[in-house]
Amino acid sequence: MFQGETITLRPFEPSDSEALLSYLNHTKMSGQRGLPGRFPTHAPLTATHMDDLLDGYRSGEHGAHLAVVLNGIDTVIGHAGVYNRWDAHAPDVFVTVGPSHARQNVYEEAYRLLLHYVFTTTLAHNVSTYCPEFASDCIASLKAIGFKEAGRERRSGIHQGQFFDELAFDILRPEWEEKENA
Amino acid sequence: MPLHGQVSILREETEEDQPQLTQLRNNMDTQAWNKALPPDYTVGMHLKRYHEREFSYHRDSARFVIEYKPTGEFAGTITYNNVKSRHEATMGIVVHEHFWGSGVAYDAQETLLSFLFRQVGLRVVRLYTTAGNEAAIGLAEKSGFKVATRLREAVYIRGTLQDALTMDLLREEWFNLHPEYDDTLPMPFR
Repeated sequence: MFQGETITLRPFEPSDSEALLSYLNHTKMSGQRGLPGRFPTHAPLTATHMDDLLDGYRSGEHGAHLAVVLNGIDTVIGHAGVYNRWDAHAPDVFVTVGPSHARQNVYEEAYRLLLHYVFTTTLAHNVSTYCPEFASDCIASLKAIGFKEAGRERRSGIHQGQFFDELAFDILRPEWEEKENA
Repeated sequence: MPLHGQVSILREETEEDQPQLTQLRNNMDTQAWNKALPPDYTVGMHLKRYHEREFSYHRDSARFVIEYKPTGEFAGTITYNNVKSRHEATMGIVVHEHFWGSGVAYDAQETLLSFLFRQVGLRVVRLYTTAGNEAAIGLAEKSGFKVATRLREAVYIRGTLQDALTMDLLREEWFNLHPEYDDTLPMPFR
């Protein structure tokens, strides 16, 4: 269920800590790390932060958390997940990919795997996600999959000396089913 | 010192407020959650929550009781949370049915916004509501909030599917509506 053509979504292992640190501390990830609010958004993260993060992931904190790995070499290039802390009717999904691999096809594949999981194993009706306004590969992938733009949260964060907005997207179960059956 | 509005006072909670807070949560029209909570919360549960609050100099949330100034009655509650220092927070308000239409909700909202923008120094305030809650949308718009996001059919409440809305209000938008105040906080970016 979690294996695509070029990537696989799998549970995190303690040994993934170094790979996580490597892309999360990249300057391009500043302000858009896709981590829970207790972690710094800009300051360098440490191995201790990663232990805390992976502990939370292992405990299923707020939902399912998965490593995005390249098929064949099992290198962690990003993280993805499903949050259903509020209501199983309307979970949100997210995909964060390190700058070396942040291309449309990687986002698209990861989001397709997440949607398949959510719509075939849960009672979700609306699935939403958020993307920084400058993340053009992420935005293009969401539109290609069938997500519809649902507005923007202004001044959502700070990135490279500016506030940025986050674009909201959603997709309804009938829309996903229609795409799947086309 | 409590925050004073024209017809409302925003003050700290006390033990004596817990029965009224329980009543608000158990009223399906005022619990203000976009999924139904069972209307069986007890005063004891609320007292426990009240007593578990801990002192800290690093608060990222607050909750106030709204008191109706002319009579001193309990009128509802207003909160903010998810504070990012000098950046953003999310607010919420619940007013007892008896005070709907009295103007106390708007006054309490403006009193809190004044605190958040002029003392806490935030650059944006957000709130959540649903498309079916016209009163909440109207109240927010009256203070300058705009609909930011609309997630379609994301809420099932009172037997109907509704859109989930977030609304936001930028610092300069609020100050533009209040020319009586000067904004002296430097704006670092656009």
